[in-house]
Amino acid sequence: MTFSLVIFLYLYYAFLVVWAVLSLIGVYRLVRFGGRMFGTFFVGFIYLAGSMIIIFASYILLSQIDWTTQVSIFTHLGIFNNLNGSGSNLFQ
Amino acid sequence: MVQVQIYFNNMLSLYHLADPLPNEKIITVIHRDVFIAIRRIIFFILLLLLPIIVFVMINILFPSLVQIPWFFPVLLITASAYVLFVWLLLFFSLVDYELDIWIITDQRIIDVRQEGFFARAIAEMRFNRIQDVTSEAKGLWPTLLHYGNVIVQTANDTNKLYFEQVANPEHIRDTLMKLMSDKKNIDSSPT
Repeated sequence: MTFSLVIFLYLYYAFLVVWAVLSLIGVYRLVRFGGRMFGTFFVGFIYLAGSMIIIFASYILLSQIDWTTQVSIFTHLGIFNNLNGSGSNLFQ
Repeated sequence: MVQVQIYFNNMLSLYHLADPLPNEKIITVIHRDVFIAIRRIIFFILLLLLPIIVFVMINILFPSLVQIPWFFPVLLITASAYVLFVWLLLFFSLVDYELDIWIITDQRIIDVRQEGFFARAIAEMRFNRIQDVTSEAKGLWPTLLHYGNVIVQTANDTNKLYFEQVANPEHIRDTLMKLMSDKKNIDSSPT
């Protein structure tokens, strides 16, 4: 079975949309009910800063990947035989 | 412009009582003990480190897996989603910590809790209805770090209000007892 690696990227984008909506809900709760306290500001700031760092680092790493690569699941199933030493070497 | 500003203040201030009693003054606002927040942060940081541990383990135990062309991208994308998800859970945990408060005024106790994404439960108990206040610190960490629960109970035994995992529960109990006593003296004094 073969399909393009880019499908994983689309799934990741879908996850990012859900994650962004949940983040907005969290920030809304914090602003709506938390008020202008230092703790509230600190939690919100750390979350947004951390999120930006994670997303930026992910972007840097993911942008180096060739997403046109084809994923062949059943081709590589032999790897499990190889792991316990009983199968043929997949990469030979 | 002034009205907008007032509304903004009312909406955002944690220490503002939405429905204050006449001449009511806020004595203190209590969060859970800071150790509870630190414990949550440590737990989630350990969860955030999990992808690194998994990657190192795969590299050591199954080095041939990493040579599959699509394996590393899939691992990377999964790790990124996982880290973002755990980061979000940590955020929600700290938001709950920040928004779960007990407000003690000179006339009542107000218990404000976040329940789920949108639910916010607010309960109150007036001092003239309080029958008993007890404090407890059960376990190693509560005893060492001086945090615990305060249980406030009315004459009707079914109505209880809990201050959970708060710092210095004995001090809070003493404060409540003093405020109860003051309230009784004011109520019983001739006007």
